[in-house]
Amino acid sequence: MKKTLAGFFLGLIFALSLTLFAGENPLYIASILFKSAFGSRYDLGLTLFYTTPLVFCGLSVAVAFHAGLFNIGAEGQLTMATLAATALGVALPSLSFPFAPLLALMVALLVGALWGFIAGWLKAVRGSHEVVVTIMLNFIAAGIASWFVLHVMPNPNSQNPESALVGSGYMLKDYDPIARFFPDTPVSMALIVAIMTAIGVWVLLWKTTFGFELRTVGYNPDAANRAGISEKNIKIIALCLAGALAGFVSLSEVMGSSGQFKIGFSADYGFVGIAVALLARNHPIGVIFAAFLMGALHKGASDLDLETTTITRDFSKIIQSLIILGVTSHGLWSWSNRRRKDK
Amino acid sequence: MTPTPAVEFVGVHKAFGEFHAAEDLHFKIAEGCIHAIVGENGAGKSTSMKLLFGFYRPDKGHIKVRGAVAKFQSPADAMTCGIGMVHQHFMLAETHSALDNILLFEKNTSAFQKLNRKEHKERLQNLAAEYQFHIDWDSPIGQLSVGTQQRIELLKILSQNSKIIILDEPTAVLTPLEIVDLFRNLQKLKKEGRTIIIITHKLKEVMNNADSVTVLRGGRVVANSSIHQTSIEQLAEHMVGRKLKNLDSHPRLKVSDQKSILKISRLNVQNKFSALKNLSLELKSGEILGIAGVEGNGQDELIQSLLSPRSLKLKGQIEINSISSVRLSTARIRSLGFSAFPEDRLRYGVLTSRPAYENFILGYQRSREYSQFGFLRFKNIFKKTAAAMESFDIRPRQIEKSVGSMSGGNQQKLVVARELQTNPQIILAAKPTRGVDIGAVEFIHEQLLNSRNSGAAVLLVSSELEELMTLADRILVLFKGQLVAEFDRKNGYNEIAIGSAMGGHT
Amino acid sequence: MTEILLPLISLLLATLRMATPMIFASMGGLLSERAGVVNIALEGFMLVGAFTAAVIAFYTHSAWLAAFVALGVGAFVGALYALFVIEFKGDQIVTGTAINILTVGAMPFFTKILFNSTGSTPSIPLEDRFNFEPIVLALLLVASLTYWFYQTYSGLWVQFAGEHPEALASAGINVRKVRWVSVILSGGLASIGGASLSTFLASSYSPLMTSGRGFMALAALIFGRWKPLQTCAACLFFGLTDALQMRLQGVQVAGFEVPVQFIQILPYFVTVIAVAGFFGKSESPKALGKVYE
Repeated sequence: MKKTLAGFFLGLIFALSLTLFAGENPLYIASILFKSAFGSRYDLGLTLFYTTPLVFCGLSVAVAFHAGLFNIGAEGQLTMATLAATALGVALPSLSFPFAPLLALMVALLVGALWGFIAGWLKAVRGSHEVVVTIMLNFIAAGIASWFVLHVMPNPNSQNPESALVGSGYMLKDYDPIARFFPDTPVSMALIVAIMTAIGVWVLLWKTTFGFELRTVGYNPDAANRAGISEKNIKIIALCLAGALAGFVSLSEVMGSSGQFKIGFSADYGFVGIAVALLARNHPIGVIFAAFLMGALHKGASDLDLETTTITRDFSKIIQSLIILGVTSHGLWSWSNRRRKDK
Repeated sequence: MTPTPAVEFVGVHKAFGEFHAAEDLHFKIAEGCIHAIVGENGAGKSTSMKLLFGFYRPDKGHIKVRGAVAKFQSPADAMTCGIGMVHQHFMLAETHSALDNILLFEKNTSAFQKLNRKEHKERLQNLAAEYQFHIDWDSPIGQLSVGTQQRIELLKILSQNSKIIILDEPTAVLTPLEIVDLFRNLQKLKKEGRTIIIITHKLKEVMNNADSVTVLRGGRVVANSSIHQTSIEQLAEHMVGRKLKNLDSHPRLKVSDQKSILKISRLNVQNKFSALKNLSLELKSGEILGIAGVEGNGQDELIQSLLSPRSLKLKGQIEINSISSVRLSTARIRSLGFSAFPEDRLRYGVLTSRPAYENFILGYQRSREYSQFGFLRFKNIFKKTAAAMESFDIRPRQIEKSVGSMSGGNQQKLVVARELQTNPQIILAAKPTRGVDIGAVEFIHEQLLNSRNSGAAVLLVSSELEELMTLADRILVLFKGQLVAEFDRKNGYNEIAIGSAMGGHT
Repeated sequence: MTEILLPLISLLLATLRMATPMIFASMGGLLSERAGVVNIALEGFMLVGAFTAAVIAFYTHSAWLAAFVALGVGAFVGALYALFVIEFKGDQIVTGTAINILTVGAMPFFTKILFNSTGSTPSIPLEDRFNFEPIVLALLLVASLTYWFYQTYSGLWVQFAGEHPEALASAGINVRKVRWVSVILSGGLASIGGASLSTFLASSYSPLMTSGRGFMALAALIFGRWKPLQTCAACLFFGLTDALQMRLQGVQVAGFEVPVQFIQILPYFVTVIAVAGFFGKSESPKALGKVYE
């Protein structure tokens, strides 16, 4: 825990000091990040909006990790799921609340799970490397989504690369206390769902028999097989579960805010989810807080374009990556100790 | 005046964190003899030799090699000084040829120098001929027998012309005949004036082959003696620190209605290397059936066919209580009253990073006792685990303690307690005492006998003759995938006959 | 006759062109993975190379100098990766992912400083770009790497660093050093692969222009069973699907135009099939991904 936090701050400080090269004052940049993330109710609303998908993606990565799998495919899984939810909403616009968003979510979870299943099946049955497969599936999902949005259900009223709007019965807006509390921001009660889901995942992993079996496969697949726990089945189910968790992103993106599929809507949520899971050390409750941190960084960096002339919003990627490096480098501390001893 | 010893330990200490692996070691090894280092797991045998070989550096004290204080920074330094070591797990890359594996050790080579395979092969062939080693130089190591691999390791050292040769548990993986062969070679090396140090826990081998012996216990030297002044019983007592029970006197009850409980008929398994050919056997309740054999003769396939038949391509029939099991899942097979002590505890048996209670329910997590409506019943789990730790004397007695922090013996006891918790009808005990200290060995053996006496059927797969002869009612010998011989307790066991059957001579 | 031959030759050339960046990257990956270090960061190394080369070629008008500097910068980023995975013992896949994100985030930082834009670099005139040289270099690289790998002592060291590092150490060779050198070289080589993207296949650097080629190079490595010649062949195969992909765009099938997106995902699809083991299983180096203490 201490090392994780230390790694986090080390990465953050190092990233900020990089702005010196662009002639900026790191403290000033830090203050922009902070102000832009939490400065007003509006800013906080946006931060929480970014937090929501990151919780889902962090959980997706974490669940797979507990089964000993590395899910780099959350991005593709959330893309396919969001596409499916949108397609349903565009194809059957007349369905009404609350049935409509529930059905859309079900479809999204199913499609996300299916996209996870492909990687899971290939891993468990064919022995394919899940990292390579999930990355390729991300590209394939992006291709399919782009075709579907631009050619099958484009927005007739816009030149932007986005789909038509889903029926109004799908939208949570009118019933959404969170959205009401943060007016003019896209944050929605999907955030509540995210927190509940995180708690649900914690219960699943640590309190249920299935969770014990899933973790056992992650700790020691050979021992699991010997104990009559099917490593193959668990790995497939784990990636289905991971896909479904990533599929929840559709709830905050489509039903919760935009009501459509905008190409490029995901700020690499799937990849940042890796950082989130890592920062949380794959603990579902920790994921909530880690997602909030990463969401704040993303929101904070989005104003860098406006507030400075040299630093762009992509700076958040630099911060994220350096934080990942800081947190994953377990050996950093013992290494620096050893150096000191050698001297 | 006594001659300078080849190796001398002078007050050597070595600690890993809190754990003192070696404390104040003092002993001498004379030049040109075979010296045995014996002790239980964790007694400091391997640590002391790794100190000599430059893997570790002593915290205190020093080691003298031929009278001069050795300050090795790495094994490479030790090798330069004429010390070679054959590790228990061979330092050979299985994908590479014997030739490449030895070429790696050529001295004074530069990075971009061409590998002169032809010239070195000739040189090594000559060297091998000196010791009558027959070695296939070009096949990947993984395809060669364990005995051959060991000879390659020896050649590696001989091609460096090392004067001091350390062997770590050299006989653990060899057939009885290969063992005879090994010691003949070691005697020859000794006659050439080399000093041989063997780390072992097999006392009989020590008595038959070594000239002198050092016994370690708990990181300390407890005895140093020439071989003529000691005996097996004395060495065992030094190793364990107390007298051992004699299990031969343990009661063997005649179970009244012995029924056939496991039946294997004409089992054939095709796998990468070894396979099973036409294997048939019958196991009755109330008996211990030993499967003797050297590792790699089909034991793994036999165990797998019994526990997870679906993961193999197999032909033939396996019946548990008259139910055919060849198409069943592992979970289903276990639910038929079948339990197993894994042959490799750390790999198949435990979750080292997890607490004792999670390890205790592993495989039984779906039983009604531990699971209700899909949720774990922690209260029951804690209670049962605590009770089992009490009755099996598993230490430390903390159900939250991670299994990785327990000693090998306690880990194995936990596994045994777990597998016996449902009073299984069939127990597959594969190498049940591997890597376990003598005290725990005794305990586990007693448990197996008790289970037998209360009517369970035990299939004991082992390569340790002593273990088999102590426990088994019958012994079948597995060689190259076939059962080649059968011995019965009633007729008295003949150690030599079983040993040579294990090497394929019947 | 020429009607058949010409398109075939042009397809062959296109295959070679498309395969070139991947060959460089996969040979880099081969070095690193045979030495026991998983290399997901190839994608990032390539991106760095593409950017560096485009900038240098733009300012100096020399493609060779551009490639050379790209080699150096790639090696530097490779060293960074080595530092984190070998010395700091970071998880290799996580660290590789971080390096990839870092490069994606860092490039706009530099383009903003250099060109006051966050998008592409300015276009490099044709005469300052490579014509065919990278193809030759790539094939030469495969040949020399194969020889070095199997016929010299240091080649053997790299193989043992990934197969049995303890054995290598017991032979008195510093495993960490061997891994360091291999990973640094892998950064340099993958970076040249990236350079061949921006100064050979295209005329400038554009964001995300590697579009997964680094990962495909990794897949080629798995598909090619971590052996130089087979891996090169796998790259050529992926190059062929890439070349076909470009030729198939706009082609009508039974009066129906196949959507361009479907054709674009063809190489990724083929990659999935390739690593799915439908062409036989491949076994990774034994110590791949394991930290050496």
